[in-house]
Amino acid sequence: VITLKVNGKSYDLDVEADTPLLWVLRDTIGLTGTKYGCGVSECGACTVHVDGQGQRSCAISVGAVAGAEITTIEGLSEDKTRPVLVAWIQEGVPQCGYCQPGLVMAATALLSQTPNPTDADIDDGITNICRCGTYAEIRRAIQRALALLKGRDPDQGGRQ
Amino acid sequence: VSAGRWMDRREFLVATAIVGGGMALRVIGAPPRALAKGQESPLPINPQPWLPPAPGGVEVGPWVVIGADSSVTVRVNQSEMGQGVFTSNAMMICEELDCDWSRVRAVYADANRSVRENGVYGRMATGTSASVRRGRVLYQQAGASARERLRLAAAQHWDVPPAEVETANGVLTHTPTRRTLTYGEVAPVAATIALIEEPAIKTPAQYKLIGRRVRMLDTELKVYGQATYGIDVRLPGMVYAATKQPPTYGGTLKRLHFDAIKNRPGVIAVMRMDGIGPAGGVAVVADTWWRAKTALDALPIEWDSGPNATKGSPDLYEEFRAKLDEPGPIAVDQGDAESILRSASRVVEAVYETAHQAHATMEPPNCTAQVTGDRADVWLGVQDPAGALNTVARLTGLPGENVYVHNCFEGGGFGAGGTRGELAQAVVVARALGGRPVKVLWTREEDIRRPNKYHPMVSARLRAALGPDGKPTAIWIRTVGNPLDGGLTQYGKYQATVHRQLLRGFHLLPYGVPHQRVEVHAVETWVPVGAWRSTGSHPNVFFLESFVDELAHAAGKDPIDYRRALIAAAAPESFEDHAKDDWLRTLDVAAEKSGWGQRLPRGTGMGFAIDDRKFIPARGLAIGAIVARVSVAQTGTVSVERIDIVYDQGHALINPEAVERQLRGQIAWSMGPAMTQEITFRNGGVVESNFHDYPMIRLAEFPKQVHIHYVKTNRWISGVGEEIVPLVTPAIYNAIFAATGKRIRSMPLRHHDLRWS
Repeated sequence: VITLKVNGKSYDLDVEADTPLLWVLRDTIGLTGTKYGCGVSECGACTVHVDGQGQRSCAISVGAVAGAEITTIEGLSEDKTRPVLVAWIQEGVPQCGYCQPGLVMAATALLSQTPNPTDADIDDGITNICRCGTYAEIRRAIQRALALLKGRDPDQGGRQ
Repeated sequence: VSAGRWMDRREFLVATAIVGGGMALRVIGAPPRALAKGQESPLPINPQPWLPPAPGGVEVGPWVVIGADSSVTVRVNQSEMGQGVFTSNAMMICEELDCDWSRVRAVYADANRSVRENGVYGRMATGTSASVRRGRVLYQQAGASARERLRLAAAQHWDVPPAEVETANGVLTHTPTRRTLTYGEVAPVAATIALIEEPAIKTPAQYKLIGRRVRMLDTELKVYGQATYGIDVRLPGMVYAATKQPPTYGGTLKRLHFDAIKNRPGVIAVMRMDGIGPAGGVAVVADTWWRAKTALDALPIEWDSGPNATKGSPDLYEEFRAKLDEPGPIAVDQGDAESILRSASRVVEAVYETAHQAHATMEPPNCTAQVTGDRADVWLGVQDPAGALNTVARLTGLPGENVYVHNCFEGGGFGAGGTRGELAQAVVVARALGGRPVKVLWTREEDIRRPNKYHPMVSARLRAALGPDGKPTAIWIRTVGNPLDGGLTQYGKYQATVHRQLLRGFHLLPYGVPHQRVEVHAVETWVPVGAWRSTGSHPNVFFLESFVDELAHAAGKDPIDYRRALIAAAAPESFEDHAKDDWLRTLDVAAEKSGWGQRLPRGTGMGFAIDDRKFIPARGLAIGAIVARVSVAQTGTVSVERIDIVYDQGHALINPEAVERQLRGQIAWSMGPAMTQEITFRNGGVVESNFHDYPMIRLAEFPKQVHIHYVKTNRWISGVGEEIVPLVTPAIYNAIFAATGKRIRSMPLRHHDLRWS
């Protein structure tokens, strides 16, 4: 039995220790906001936070994160006021939407690690794949989230 | 478009008033309301989109449900793949219904009900950019019809002439007395009223909602991770299946050794899939998908590798190139192109090729199914729920009335979602499990290597004779492609049998050339092929717009000026829908807005491409043009710096926010094959397997500057879901030529050495 701490809740799970965290989250616990896209850590659809760090849950075994604080899209912000979420909605980023929870988790992790990112930091830090190509909206949403975090009016300047 | 902001749902009334007062519209979306702990989010679409967002309500016609609180739920018969149909189709109804947009919700129309009620939801397949093209009149009429019935119900209630009843924002007003009723109050009576005559629908000049910038109704669901995609469906007692098809095309399953895995934890069953799905194979069922998948990986399987075991991409290219030397069915024969070319003093000739491509939707193929004695249910995100229903009925032998397709959110479509092997696999496994629900899910590797179908490769040879003024006197095109999804037609003065997608665009060349000949070979190969975002336009626009660029440079002319002269010289009949002038205006806007002709640093260039998506038979146009600004480093690394898109605005765009997301997104879609992507074959199978060797465009490669400009035209455009895709590659490659003098005639770019010093 492996004990996993997800979104502040403890789960005792009867799973093999080498099962990827992704599948435990989705199929055993039932948190399906974290998506499967590639299984080889390429696309980022499965991004979660492990002790605050953005991690691709398809490539971490559940045994390796027993005891860690895991946060999924469902637990990112209970009242949905977190600036990245607000910015993502105001910019209307999603098209098909499948990759978006992973993108939100990646962007949240980036902005907490790098509070003043350059364009290059953002390009390097957000390597998730979006097949609909929402990249222009992703850039805008990150800039909007930065403005919200710094208490600036996101609609004054800074938009391309 | 930088000021392009949309209506927040709650602000729509305010903004309407402002616009009515003649002031400029710049409405900023308010922050989403914070939720109290435990409070349900009052979202306009159910996370399970086949279910209504709220219970109750009264149906006023099959498309509209009105709640006691005057909320309106619109039933949508097209599939949401990110193009925004939940929003734009609801807008088309609400334009006529005069309801309060902030209280509009949406739900999928039910394919099962459509079967039971004589096809009440019409054509449910989504594709060819047709949701608005095919649906606008239908949806406007449904809204107008419901509004009329509400009006008649109110008139009946007050016992006044219907002409004295006005509708606005979900309220009915008796104008002489200013008495009011809400839609919710009269809906039960309206539901019983039948109209003798359908009311007229609005013309574009009368639109109030259509054309506004509206945020998509499913935005919150998708950002919060609450939207239920097929892969997310969970049912009581559900088990999981992993499937594997033969590793070679044409291969079959010989033998498998279940004993080797039957004692692994959670494993329930193994099943042969002979004749099921795209190519048979095997399914392993377990209590979790990961256990099913790892057991399948460990299962010893003997395959018969079949007739293609030694074949690969070089054989396919060789076969196509050989065919380029053979005369083919003649689709276009105007004048005498062959003899002009024989006697011409200047001839330009080039061979162009495109590779196979995968859809690789972000959501891997999956389907959940439950089959009992008299009923079958499937859950998946699907481009054609009615087609899926028929497939399930056929596989189970059940009548369609007993089959339920629960259409989920779909993690991308792009043409992949018509015929679905994963659906057949799930139904067959579920039937064998006797009432227990099962979810079939493919790995990404299975999706890349054994998908339902690929975008086909095409090869073409183009020749042109140039006159003393540099303009072409003759053009000759011979193309070879793998035909997809039927699509054969009789065309041209010889009524030759040709494939419509392979001929597409060449049948009416927009450039005035006196002598023209087009031959189209369809060569069936062992690779399964089908629709892929923009389909036949993708290779053909690449060929034509690159080749015309070659001719311009050979003539020593600016590529846009050269095209302008050739378009001007073309006969008006070379354009559908009298579009010649629109082509010229589009070209001029592109040149002006992109800064065409400016001095650029060394290694930087600009390239142009234009097309209108004409088809055979004609089904409407959408004229688009792209200017790409590209820099090529001395190391050969290409960076797409800026893209200017000029697009056909037509009479009206339903939701410009949805339109512009489609246009921008298509840049990334099309840059994939242009820059890096290619499906290749070796030993009868596919070499690539996942995103490391079939690489997607990511944020860093996406152009930092994308500008969208519109040309107002006098037509309903044919669509917006795929129209930019064919333009991206020729615009980028033409820019590379301008920057480096190197002409790229095949995709992807990574095969070409672009170093310079």
